Amino acid sequence: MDDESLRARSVQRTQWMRCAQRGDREAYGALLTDVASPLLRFLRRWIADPHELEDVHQDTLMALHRARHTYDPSRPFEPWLFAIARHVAVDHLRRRASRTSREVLVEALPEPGTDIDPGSPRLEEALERLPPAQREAFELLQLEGMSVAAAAARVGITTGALKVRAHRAYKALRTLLGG
Amino acid sequence: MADTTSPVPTASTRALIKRLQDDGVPVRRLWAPWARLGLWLIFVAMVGGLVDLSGVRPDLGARLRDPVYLLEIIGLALASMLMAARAFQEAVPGYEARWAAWGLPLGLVLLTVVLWFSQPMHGQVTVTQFIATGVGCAERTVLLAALPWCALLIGVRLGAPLAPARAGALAGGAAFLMAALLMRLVCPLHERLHLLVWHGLPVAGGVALSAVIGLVWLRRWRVRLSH
Repeated sequence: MDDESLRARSVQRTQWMRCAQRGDREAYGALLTDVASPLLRFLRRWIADPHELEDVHQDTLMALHRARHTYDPSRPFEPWLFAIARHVAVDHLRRRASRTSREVLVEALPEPGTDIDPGSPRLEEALERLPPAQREAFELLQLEGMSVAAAAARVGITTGALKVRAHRAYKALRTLLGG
Repeated sequence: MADTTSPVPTASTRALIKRLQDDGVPVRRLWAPWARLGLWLIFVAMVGGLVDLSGVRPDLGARLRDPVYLLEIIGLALASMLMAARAFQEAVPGYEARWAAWGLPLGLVLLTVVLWFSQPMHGQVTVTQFIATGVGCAERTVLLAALPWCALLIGVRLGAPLAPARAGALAGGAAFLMAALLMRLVCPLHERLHLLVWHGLPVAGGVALSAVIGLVWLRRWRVRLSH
């Protein structure tokens, strides 16, 4: 895309945002749809894991929504947008680093507990309440019986990352099932 | 090799966009940082008016002819205003701070500290006297800073500060430096330790406290999705 097109697009976004601040939902929808892909591309430079990326992408859109009154249409739109995206991504990475430092990876994954029938409605209900990434890790390991390496390959992440998700899933399930 | 494919938002992201679109009610645009700074300065001037009513030092006219004292007053006023301006900018994403935005107020604060260091030291004052004459200055500094500080924090909170601790520290710095300035118009003492301890420490404490409050309170503009 040449400079002229980029400028025209930026002007269009500014116009949409100006209208969105006045309550024009059509313009707001057009703006959000237009920036969704560039935002995703921007965030992908920071976050590789597709599930995390989706979470951060949605967080960024929420932050944009909450901060839309701060945008000044006399200034370019993109620095405002990407400052928010950078902030959300950095905040996410900081939280993840802090969480990971408190977690201990073990070679063998703990047993999730054998007193629950895999087909029981309670377990299904609890699984529904887990984040998709954690649910997927649990299902691959415990319900499909895959090895950690195979499950990690299937999801497209490292074995360490898969173990972290599985640990979190077990912890959440224990809480949800009252174990 | 860089991945240049255009990523596509997921179905749940598209659903979120639809939800946000439906929630796209009109919003009142935040005033420009300079306009909010002007409003804050009017508010500070009103607080300053209270000081005038309560009585400035009797020798103020003569003191203002002293270049060191004048430099100190100008330095405190400029540092406070620059910090307030920067705090209001912090509330708007995408405002990149130029070097001068940081260097100038910090330099002015440093200059004030150096000027206070250059004041004479009175060795004959007992600890009791030192505390008795100083506590009042510290208390009045905090009292004078309180309203402008709250106003500034609320003003920043109306926006979307991306670095809440920094925004809080700047708000605290602006309010407490302004209070230190007003106190210099009131307090007749020119003694090194008195100035550094009873005028300087409340500013440092206010900045630290304000950074903590900023970290906790100014970050709440963001609603995190439950993961």
